[in-house]
Amino acid sequence: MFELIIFITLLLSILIALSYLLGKFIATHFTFPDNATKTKLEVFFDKIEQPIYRFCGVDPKKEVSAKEYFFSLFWSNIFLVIVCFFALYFQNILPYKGNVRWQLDIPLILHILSSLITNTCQTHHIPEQHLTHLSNYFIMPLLMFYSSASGIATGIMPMRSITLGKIGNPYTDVIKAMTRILFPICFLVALIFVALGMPNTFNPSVTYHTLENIKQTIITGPIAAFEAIKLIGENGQSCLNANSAHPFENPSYLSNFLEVVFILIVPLALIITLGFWLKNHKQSIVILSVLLFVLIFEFTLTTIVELKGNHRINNFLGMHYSNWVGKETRFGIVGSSVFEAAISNVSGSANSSLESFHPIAIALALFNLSNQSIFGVQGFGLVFTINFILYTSFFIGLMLGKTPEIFGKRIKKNEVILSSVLLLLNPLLVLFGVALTLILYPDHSTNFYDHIHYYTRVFYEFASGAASNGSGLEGLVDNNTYWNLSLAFVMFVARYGAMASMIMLGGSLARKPVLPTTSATFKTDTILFGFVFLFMSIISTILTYFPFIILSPVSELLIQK
Amino acid sequence: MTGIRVCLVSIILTIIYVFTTVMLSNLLFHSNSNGSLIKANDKIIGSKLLGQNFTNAKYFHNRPSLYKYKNDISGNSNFPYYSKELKDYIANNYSEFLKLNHNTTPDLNLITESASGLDPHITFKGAISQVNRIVNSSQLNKEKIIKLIQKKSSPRILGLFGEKIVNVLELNLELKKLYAKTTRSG
Repeated sequence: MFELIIFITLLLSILIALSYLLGKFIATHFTFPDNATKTKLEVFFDKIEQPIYRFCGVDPKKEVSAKEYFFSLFWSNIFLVIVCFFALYFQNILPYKGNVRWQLDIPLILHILSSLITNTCQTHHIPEQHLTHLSNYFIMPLLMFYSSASGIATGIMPMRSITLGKIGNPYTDVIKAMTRILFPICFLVALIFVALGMPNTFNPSVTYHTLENIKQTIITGPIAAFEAIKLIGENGQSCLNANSAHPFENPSYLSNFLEVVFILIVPLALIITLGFWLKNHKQSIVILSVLLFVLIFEFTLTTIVELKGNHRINNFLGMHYSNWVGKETRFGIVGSSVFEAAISNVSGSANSSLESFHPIAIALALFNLSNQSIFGVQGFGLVFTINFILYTSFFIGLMLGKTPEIFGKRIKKNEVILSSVLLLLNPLLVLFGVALTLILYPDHSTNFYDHIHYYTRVFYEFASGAASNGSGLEGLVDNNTYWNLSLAFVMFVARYGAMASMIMLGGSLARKPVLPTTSATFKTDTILFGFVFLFMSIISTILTYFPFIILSPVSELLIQK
Repeated sequence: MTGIRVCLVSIILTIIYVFTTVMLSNLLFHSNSNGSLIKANDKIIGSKLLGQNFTNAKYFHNRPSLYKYKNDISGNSNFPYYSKELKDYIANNYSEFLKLNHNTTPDLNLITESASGLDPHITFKGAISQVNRIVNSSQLNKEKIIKLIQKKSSPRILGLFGEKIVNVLELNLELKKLYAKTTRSG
């Protein structure tokens, strides 16, 4: 328990310090139009970006409409997908194959592409067997960089519209997200990871004989370069099947700790940026404390149930043990549990077998996937948070009989419709998807527990796909045509549906005048608002998903009593 | 058209990124960036980070693994928490361990799978529980082996974080040296 307390304290202090710096950086560098007086760093980056803008034909000063903003992002994403489709389909012809010769079938390629471009990174394939080194270590990072940059742009645009009243330019945002945030940070992170023991080489494999004289092949590659964008971009795609549990992807306790930091850093920074742009740090402190409170609660609860161990196994062995099933020795129980609770909020990497966690841990993960606003996936989590603020303000406005407003801007019919689309899209896709799957592919096992667990797996798979998270209960045999196509569809619609409504929401709030604060205004930067916000966020998730969470992990727990 | 060009830029940037990180990491941390390989007599005998499947009773054993520590694949059986399979699996491993180790009870860590199936470590307790078997099959001094485990084990970080763990491959390499010495002197 002591370990957990120190772990969380260290994590938070490092995280808040780093994300404050990054949040301030984003606030100065992503204003539109550019600041009148530029810092040295801005001038430096401007010089780097100048040739890129000229090559692309982007005018960084040109502001576009919200609709154009969305379609620019959408079509550039689609174009990248088309290029990568051919690269993956013809991977056997292209060079740098490593030891793999595998013709990918089209449903699997569609699933891979859909999951990568939507920042979901659900893994149905086995990277070591299905992907050549070129596909795995060049095409995957490329898609991860681009989807993450699009995510940051999608997060920043509504935030900028609401706070600064400007929509901005999509290409500038994407290019800036890559050149100013993702590439420099990933470069440093990759080197840190190599220093901690991660391999990073072009050599595809090493063959050797073990002490007992058995021939073995080690697969190496640019793993640290891959790992950096996987974590900073909150993608969670694995380059080796075991994801962050593989010793090459996560060599030590320290690297595990740093991975948790790196996963959470950008979403935290974006909320701090909100404070800078509103010129009201109290607002971001209130939101951050609510979100961090939920996060710490989840860390603690997950760790407690895992330390307590599996009572059926402990009874059988007649000793008290923590739940070691599917956890790596070097991370220990605390390192694995905290990582699991963190990734179910933001990314899809895993450093332990999620399947073997206590049902309460899985129920918490399902809650996070359904809520999506507890830091959430790159950029999108921020907009879901803003959406919950809007929702809460609307609710409070109705209760008090006032015109509802968010950060001084009136909320009208249009905003409420777009906000509802954001809230309802996810449940619609998940619940229909689960129902359809259970009709088409019912479970035939005779054991009651297996029956319920099958349902949990199906529910989790759809929830993580729709939330752009990508973690999964890997016991589900999911590399087949049905799962690949259905999830490719769910991920695509969930991502671009949400993206469209977020950007339109930003666009419709951008032009509104800011009302002066009066004594009658309900302030959104108070502790009271924090409580209502927390309450609304939890209640709205529970109202939608409660029956489904009760049917899955909770009933797993109940039938054991 | 602009979108297409932005995609091209991202392709170029990614290629530059991968190449520069690989070059720099090879320059700065050559051993790490090639997979932390361990050599004995100029021959590679494994990576410090990847476990191996030891079956000989004279060596320390790793945790059970779905793919038997095949180094080019990773993963585990994904047993659900309350499933019968998990309980049977652990019961089976438990009785096998007792049979091999003259009724020394194992740490739970040693009879469960890791997430990657390539876990290079076992807990300190897990290593100690295997000592009886090794003493029996190799006729080495028990104190000597325990001292060896203590020498090779890494303590909890700052006495606080993680577990007291032992890298099995490194431990077995030391053990092998010990065997070589005893056969030569004997």
